[in-house]
Order: sequence, then structure tokens, then C-alpha cells
Amino acid sequence: MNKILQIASSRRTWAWPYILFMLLFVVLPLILVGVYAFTDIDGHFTVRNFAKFFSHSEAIQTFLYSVMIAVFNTAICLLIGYPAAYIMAQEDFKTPKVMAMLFILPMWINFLLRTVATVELFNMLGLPLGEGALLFGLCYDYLPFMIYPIYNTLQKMDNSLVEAAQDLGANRWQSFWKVIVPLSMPGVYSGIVMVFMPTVSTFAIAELLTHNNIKLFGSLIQDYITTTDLLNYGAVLSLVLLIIIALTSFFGDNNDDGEKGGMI
Amino acid sequence: MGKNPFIIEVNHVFKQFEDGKFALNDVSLQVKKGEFVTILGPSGCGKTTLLRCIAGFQVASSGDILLKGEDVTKTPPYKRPVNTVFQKYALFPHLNVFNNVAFGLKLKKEDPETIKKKVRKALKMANMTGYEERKVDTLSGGQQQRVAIARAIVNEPEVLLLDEPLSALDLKMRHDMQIELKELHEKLGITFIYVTHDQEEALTLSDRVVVMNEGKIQQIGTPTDIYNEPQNCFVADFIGESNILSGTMIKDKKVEFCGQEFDCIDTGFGENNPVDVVIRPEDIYIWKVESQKSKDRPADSKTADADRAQTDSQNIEDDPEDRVPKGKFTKWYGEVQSCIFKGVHYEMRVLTKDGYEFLIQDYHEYLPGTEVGMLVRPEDIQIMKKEHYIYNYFEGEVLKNGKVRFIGAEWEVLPKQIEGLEPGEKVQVKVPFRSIDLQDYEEEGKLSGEVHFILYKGNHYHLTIRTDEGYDLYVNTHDVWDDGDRVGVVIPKDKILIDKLVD
Amino acid sequence: MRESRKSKVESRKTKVESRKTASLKEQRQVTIRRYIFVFILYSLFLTPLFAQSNLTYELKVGATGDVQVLKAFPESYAGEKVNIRIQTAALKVESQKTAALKDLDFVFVNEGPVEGFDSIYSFTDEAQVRWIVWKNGKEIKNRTQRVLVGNAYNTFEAYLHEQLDKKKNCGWIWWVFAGLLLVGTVLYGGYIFYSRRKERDLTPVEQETLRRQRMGMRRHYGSQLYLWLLLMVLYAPIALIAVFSFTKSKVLGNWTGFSMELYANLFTGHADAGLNSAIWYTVVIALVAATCATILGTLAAIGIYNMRARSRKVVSLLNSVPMINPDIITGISLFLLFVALGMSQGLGTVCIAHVVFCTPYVVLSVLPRLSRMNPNTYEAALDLGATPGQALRMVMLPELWPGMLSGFILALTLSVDDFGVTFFTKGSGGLETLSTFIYSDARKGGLTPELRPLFTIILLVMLTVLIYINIRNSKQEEK
Repeated sequence: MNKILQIASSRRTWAWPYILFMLLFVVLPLILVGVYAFTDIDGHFTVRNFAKFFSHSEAIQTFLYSVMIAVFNTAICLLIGYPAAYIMAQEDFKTPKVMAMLFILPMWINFLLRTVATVELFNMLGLPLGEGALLFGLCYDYLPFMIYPIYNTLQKMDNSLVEAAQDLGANRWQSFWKVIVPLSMPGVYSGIVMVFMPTVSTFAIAELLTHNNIKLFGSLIQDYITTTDLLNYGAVLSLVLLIIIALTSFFGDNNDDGEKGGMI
Repeated sequence: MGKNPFIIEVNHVFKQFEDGKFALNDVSLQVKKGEFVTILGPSGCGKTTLLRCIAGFQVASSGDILLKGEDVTKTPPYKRPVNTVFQKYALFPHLNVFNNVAFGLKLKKEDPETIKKKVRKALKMANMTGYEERKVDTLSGGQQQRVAIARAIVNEPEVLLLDEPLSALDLKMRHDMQIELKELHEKLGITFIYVTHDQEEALTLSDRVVVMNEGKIQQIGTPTDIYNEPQNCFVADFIGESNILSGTMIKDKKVEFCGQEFDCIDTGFGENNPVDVVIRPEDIYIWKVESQKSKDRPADSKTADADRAQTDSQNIEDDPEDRVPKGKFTKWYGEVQSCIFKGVHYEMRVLTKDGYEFLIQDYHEYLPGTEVGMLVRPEDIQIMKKEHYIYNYFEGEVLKNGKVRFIGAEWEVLPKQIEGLEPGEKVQVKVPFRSIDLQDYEEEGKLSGEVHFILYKGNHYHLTIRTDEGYDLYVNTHDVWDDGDRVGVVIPKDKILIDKLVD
Repeated sequence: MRESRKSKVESRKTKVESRKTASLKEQRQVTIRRYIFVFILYSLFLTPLFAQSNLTYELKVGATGDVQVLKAFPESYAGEKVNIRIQTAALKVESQKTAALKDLDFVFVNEGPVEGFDSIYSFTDEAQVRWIVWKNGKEIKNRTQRVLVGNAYNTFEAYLHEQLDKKKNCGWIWWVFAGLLLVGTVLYGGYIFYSRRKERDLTPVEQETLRRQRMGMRRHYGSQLYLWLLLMVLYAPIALIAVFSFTKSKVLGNWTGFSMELYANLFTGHADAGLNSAIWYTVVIALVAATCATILGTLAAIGIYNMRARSRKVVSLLNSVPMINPDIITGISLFLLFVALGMSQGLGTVCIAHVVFCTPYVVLSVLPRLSRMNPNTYEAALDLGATPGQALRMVMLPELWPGMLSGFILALTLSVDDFGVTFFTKGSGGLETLSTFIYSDARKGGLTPELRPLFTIILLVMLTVLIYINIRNSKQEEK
């Protein structure tokens, strides 16, 4: 009894249940993805699934297309979001706090509902669904994730740095490119990661926005993984996605801003 | 066009912020080429705003600013031939020392060799040679400061603006940097405008000091002028320590305070006009008086001259070292209340019989309880015009219910005060300084406000109370308040005087 | 002499006063102008949305795939001839094959329910129907919709744009907006004119002051416009749903008059049974998951906080994995785990999955509170004779409470919001949460109408929670 008390009073041990839980439900499942990717349906080791992927032109094409769409979407979000974040972070701008909140609010509404609403809006305006609608919908869904981190870094930035640049002879344009942009890069990285990762792995949005005419990699994985005899192949596709994710998060590694946690 | 001796001219500049407050209220200032001018004042006095208007980060609401005779009021900062050293340095964290310093030169598209040469020279001037490749956040505060200076002077500005550049440094570092700045000013020969709240810094560094408060320039002058001849109570109180007393200018070179007449050297204040008198603590001579004799001394019945004759004879025996000047000086007496050793001198508080308290600094120690005599030389008495007299003046309006509305509240007044006045009529309200009561709890007063400025006048405090509606009330009181105390304001109805307003 | 001095002081005072009021006035002017400006923008933006009156056909695809015209709005079109072509294509995901489009042309005379168009084409499975509507040989409508044979929602509406006849019908809405726009413009112009007139009375110095103030603001007009436009686009779909929650039409975008029927349906349980159970499950899962996550996460945060730097780093990394992982990866990996363990998927697995991705956020919101806490209070409690449990309850919880609460709320919203993880872990037992319900609903080609009021309510709740948290945070900052 005493021993139990001693263990409990050392607060370090209080994290053990959580660590155990995470090992079981986070680490183990991720390992399983790898295991399934290297086994066949009967559980024997095989690399045939990978061979299949590299000869499966549809999968590769879908994969490349998905990455392309994600890159496009990230770029559009950056192009639209950066100016918005910049304007809001301006010191002399009047109502930044409320504005920033308004931009972040849609993030908290079910993204499927927002997507359906977008589809309905397109229908109502008589616009065709397709690639354009897909890009619009993705951008619409993920724009807040781009604006928020950029806004955060810009707002924390010391305004006297901009003044110093102007004082040294930089006009607004020069001080923007030589001081503000380099200093806001951490926010930009984190925004890129936060937009790119969900876009590249998205599966439901594309279906709804294009009436299933365009298939993204996420939907492909979904199709295979839910089909019992193709589960192992689905695991291979998931592994490919996982690698992309790992690479991307490595890219955005140099910032520690909590993602959604910091948004309220 | 004749040669303009002024490099910077600030003409009647106002700066109003969105909340309606004035950061600058009719500020005018001329700076000669090569001068070292310090703008001195407490925080929030508008000194930084003035600097930022000159640098171009803020546009004055009205008035104009001229650089070399050219109107630059609305010119953006990057087109002005001035450079700034910022309060917290504002070094670019993404660039190393060299690129920080070269920033301005690169914008001017100078060729790399020249840039290298100039940067090296500037870093040498700032004693930072050898740090070119360092990241700025690995530097200490003093080093960052030097880089900031190098970054500003490398552009060869005609005016260097320094916004409290030493405030983030520790004391020792600050002293070293003060000397370096002074040397730098001599070497470069350009105009320095230096903003600080540290009076010692201002007095040691500058050719001229501009004292500011509440958005207004209080006094401009050389450090000695500012110290020895403060023009108003604020300057006297802010710079160094001083005894400030209410007095009356009897005639030219004759002033009365503490119930005695003194000779002085100031003229032009008219006859029998109320004035403020400033005496620096180190200018008062002090000596010990035998208590027996001082008790014998008839206090009030004798004339001033007889008094003087008697005390003159006392000096000679009580001041064997012969420190006190001989001559026909008015003397007065009191008892030492406290005595503190301040390193070089002793600081004593002496209370006179009439209840006036004096702060005195002397090399000699006089223990509490000692009866002492005091005198001051006429040239050490500084006379200042009183800014406000015995009354607060307000604009008011008579209301139907027999009350009068002023400073944002309705006040009861004696009926005879508003006799013959129609409701709605505009009137002038007078309230004597000493008739305003201050309450500890804001709820107890009709108005609430904050103690804004305190002046000790020897035997009472003269307070400025800023009400929440933004009106200033002057109050004389014997009670001790602290700066920023919240108070309730009560004005007894028999103390409110109403005058018909005559246009 | 005293008099003259006094009057000088007075005149100075009044001068300062008038300046003060001038600036306040200017500020008010700017605010008013901004409101009018936004109003005009909104009118411009919303007018085209409402200006179209829809010509709507309600058709029914029967159990055998037969198409029947049920109704047509508005009735004033009765007698008009419209050609409708229906293209169908079988669409099976697995086969990856698309059948050739078959054209089904028919002429539709708008006279209410029309006979003679039953049994046009029989579908066998999920299908995609393309409507092409001509009038006078010109294509005026081209719309693709998904149909499921035998589904309850096969009654769907196809609506046409008001290119048919604008003036006759819903023109009044257009007029209202045009009127509003006109009023706004007149107000704006009038206000500018009025304030300029007023300015003429000011002294030259004050005019110059105003001019300089305005110079600073004009720079922002472009930026403001950009932000407001962006917000409008961002909120257009949301606003669309919220607006159409107050009409009972089945299809979004078809305004059939103000009605609270959908709200009534939602609260009296008259909505679709699937929706009701989805709401129920969503609430249960969110509460269970958030509660578990809060308990687990708080304990974990206390543990992590007291760890040595190195192990803390490792656990923090572990903690961040579910946050970095996209939904689909978390979902699939858990799906594989449950398959490997042979667990039957249902409510339990969904709850576990939700705890997985919610807990890290709870840990992150509790940790900062811990670092703000005096580290010795817990030891002090033990020293005074408390057991660890008592020390936790009596000393630590009161301090951690706000962090836990915000973690709990965060977990709730994340759980309600989740689609990806739920989708892969819900199994095939018919368990649906709101997200998955919306998904399957949308795939069928329409949105259950009761989702609109539900969505509006969620929006309002979110707004309230966000505002509450923001106010609380800013109050804390002040302290």
C-alpha cells in the first residue's frame, strides 16, 4: 500500500496511463500500417503491394494530381490569406480583433456542412461543379488555417522593426519585402503545413464538390481500405501518404505554435 | 535666400490622438546644425511623439516641421535625411550585424566595396569591429546598442534621433555609453536629438535641454539655465530638488515669502503680484543657533531690520569656519527635523516656527532638534510667475432647479449667488483652491478624479486633480496624497462663487 | 491684468475643447461611413442571389427509376412549354465503368402534375441524372444530380434561373434590394455632403487637421474593402444555409416563404429518423470522449510537467503525433488496429478514436496553467498530511480548472466536428454521427432540410462560445 502511495505521489507517474494509451492507439496503429503494407491477405511478408502501386498508373496519377491540387490550394490560400493577415495585423487598423475572430470562426463549423453549403451555392448561382469548384471549396475550407498562424506571427512582430527599415530609407514596398516577409516566415511555414497536409489527404470534400467526377488520393485510399481483400494495398497507399505528411511536417518543424489549441 | 541657421524647425505642432488627447500641444522648437539637443520629460509627456513626428513615423495633426528649411511635415520617413536609434534597438533579427548595418546602404544600391568600407568604418566608430558575422540576438544589450548606432550613422544622416537609447542598459553601461555618445557627437559633427526621461543624462550630455510636460514645452535652455533658472514649478520640481514656496513680489528685486521680505535680483513681475519662489536645497546656508538666544529673540514685534541686526551678530560666533556670507541678508530660523547622510553631503529637513518646511543640503551635519539659522543669497532666489492664482475658473450654466452645472456635474450654490440670473444663462464659476475637499473614497465625492501632479509648497501641498471627465482642478491641502491616488471631489456650496459672464 | 490673463486661459480651454469634439466627431463619421459602406457592399453582393426567382420543377424518381413531374413553381408559368432532357448513367464505383449516356427527351407542359411521363427510364442502381432544359431552342439549364433508386429523398427539385421571365415574378425582391442600395448610396452621399458643408465652418487649422487625419485613413479603404469582400465570400455559403433554415422548401435556394417548420421538426423529433439518431450519437460520443480526454489529459499534463527535460521532450513529441496526423491517417491506422485486434467496430471504437485525437489538445491547454502554478503547493499539501488524491483534489484542481474547462470545450468541438476518424472507425453497423450523416446525405444528392436549422443553431452556439472565451481571455490578460 505504502509503495503504491509512493508511486502515486511522484507525479511523474501520472502520465503513464496516457503514455500507455498513446502507445496502444497511436504508435501501434501507425506500425500496423507498415505491417499491413508489407503483408498479403494471409499475413505473409510480401512486397507485391508496392510493386502493384508502382505499376498502377491510376494510383500514381491520382497521387500526383492530389499533390498538385494540394500545392495549388496552398498557393492560393497563401496568396489570399497573407494580405488579409497582413492587413489585420497593421497596428493602425481599426477593428483587428473582431475581424480576426470572424476569419477564424468558420473553422469551427463542420467542414462537411460548409462544403455542402458551397456546393449548394454553386448550384444556386448556376456554376458548374468540377475542378474550379474543388479548388474554391478547398480554399474556402482551409483559408482560416493559413490566415491564423500568419496573423499571429505578424501581430507579435515589433512594429519598430518596420519603422527602423523605413528610417533607413526603405519605402513601404521595400520594408515589406526585406523585413516583414522574412520575419513572418515561421507563420507562413506553419500555415503551409496546416493547409497542405489536410488538402493532400482530403477525401470527402472532393467527392461532394465534383459530384465524384474527380478522385483524389484520399478517396482512392478510402476505396481500397474499405474493401476487405484490397486492404493491404490500401495500407501501401496510406504509407505513401504518411511519408508525404512526415516530409511536410519536417518542413514546418521550425515552429512550435500549437495548431488549433492556440486558436481560441 | 539667406543661410538658414536652423536644421530643424518645429512650428506650432499639435498632435491629437483618437481619444481626443493631445500628445503635442502647440510645440515650437528650433535646432541649430550640429547641436546636441535633449528632449526631457516624464513618461507620456509627448517627447517620443515629437521625435516620431520629426522622424516621420507620425504626422502632426497641425503645424509644420521643416528640415533644412524644407517642409517635411507629410514626407514619409524614408525620404528624410534623418536616422533613428530606437529605444529597444529594433535590430533585424533575421540579419547578422554586417547586414543590419548595411541595410540602408544596400537600399541605396551602393556598390559592395563601398558598402563594406562604410560599414567597417561605422562599426569602428561604434567600437564593434570584429562582430560583423554575429547574429544580433547573440549580442549583449550594450553591443546591440552599438550596432543600432552604427546602423544609423552609416547612412551619414544630417540629424541623428535617439529615442531613450540607454534606458535598457544597466547603470555602469549607461555611464560608459553616455561618454561614447558625447564623443561620437563631437567626431561626427552632426545634429543629435536625444529623448530621455533621465535628467542627469540630459544635463550632462546636451548643449540645450527642452523640458516637456503634458505635450507642451515647459522650458528650453542650456543645462545650467534649466537648473538655475527654472521658469515654472514643473521644471523646478522635475529637475533636481527644490524648495518651492508661494510668495508675493512686492516690487522689483523685493520678494516676500515665509512672512519675511527678501532681496532678490528678478524684476518685471509688477508690484504686489503673487509669485512662486524656488530655492535649491544647496543654496541655503545653515548654521547652528544657541537655543537660549533664539528663544530670547522677540519673534514678531521687531521690524525686519532689527531682526537682521541681531542675527548678524549671532553668525559670527556660531559660524567659526566663516562659511556663511556676511552682509545684509534676510535670515530665518527653524529646527532640524531629520538629517540623512547622502554620500557627499547631508540632507536636512528644517521646520520653521510658522510651519514651513525646507530641504537643505550642506556638508555639515546638524542633528535633529538643533536650532538653526538659514539664509540665501539674492541671486539664488529664483522667482517664477504663478501659473494659476487662488481660484479655479470654470464655465458654468444656471439650471432651472437653482443649481449650477459645471465640470460635468450639477452643484448646489447659495441662492444669493444666482440672484437675477436666468436658467440657461452661462456664467463663470470661481472656486478657491483651498475650498475643495478631497475624499479618500471616490464615491463620497460628487466627481471622481486622480491626483495628477503634486507640488510641496513649504507648508502645504498644491495638487492638480484631473477629473474623469478630463477637467483639471487645483487644490491646496495640508493632507498628504500620492500621485495617481483616486479621490472624490467635494465643493461646499458656500464656497462656489458665481460671476455673470461678460463678453 | 488678472482679468485679461484669465480670459486668455478660458479661450485656450474652449479651443482645446472644440478640438477634442472635432476629433470625436470625425471618428463617429468614420464609423458611420464604414457601416454605410458595408451595407452597400452587402446589398451589391446579395442582390444577385435573391434577384433570381426560381422556376422549380419537383420530380420524383420512383422505385423503378421512373420519373414523374409532381409540381412546378411558380404557377404563373402554367401552359409554358419546356423541353427537359434527362441523361442517365449507371455509376458503380468498383467497376470503374461508365455506361453511355442515354438521352431521354421529353416536352414538359407546365400544368401541374403531368401525365404521360411515367416510366421513362428504369434505373437499376445509383445513378447520375443530368437535366438539360431548353426553352425556345436555347439551353437554359444544365444540372447534374445524383439519385438513388428507392431512396426516400428521390423527390428532388430542379430549378431554373429567372432568365425566363424576370419582371413578372419575383422582381419585387430585386426592387427591394435596388431600393436599399439606392437608399444607402443616397445616405452615403448625403452624409459626405453634409459633413463637408459642416467643415467649411471650421478654422483653416482645423480643416488641415481633418485633412491630415483623413489622409491616414484613406490608405485603409482598399484594405478594408479586401477584407470585407473576403469575409463575404467566406460567409456566403454559411449565410445561405442560415437564411434558408427559415423556409420549408426541400431544396436550398428555393424560397417558399418564411417558416419555422424546420426548427419545429428538429425539436419535436419529426425530422428524419437517421438525423435524430445521428444527433443523439454525436452528443453522446462528444461527451464521453471529451470527459475521458479531459481526465486522461490532465493527469498526463501533470505527469509531463514533472518529468525530466529529456523524457518530457519524448512524450511531447508523442503528444503531437495525433495533432500532426491528418484525419485519414489516424482513422485508417485505428481501423487497421481494430481489424487486427478483431474488435467489432461501433460506438466503443469511435469513442476510443475520439479520445485519441482530443487528448493532446487537453494536454496542451492544461500545461500552461501548470507552469503558472507555484510548483511547491502540491508538496506543501502532502507535507500537511494530504494524500496524493486529496492534494490533487484540494490544491491542484482549483488551479487547473480553467485550463481543463477550455480543454474540455476544445475536445467537444473537435469531436463534434470530426468526420475522417469517425468514418473509418464507425463500422458498418449503421452508426452515424452528424458528420457522417451529412456525408451520406450529400452523396445522395441533397441535404436533409432539418440540417439547416441545426447548422444555424450550431453556428450560434459556436459564436457564443468563441465570444465568451475571447472575453475571458482578454480579461485574464488585463489582470
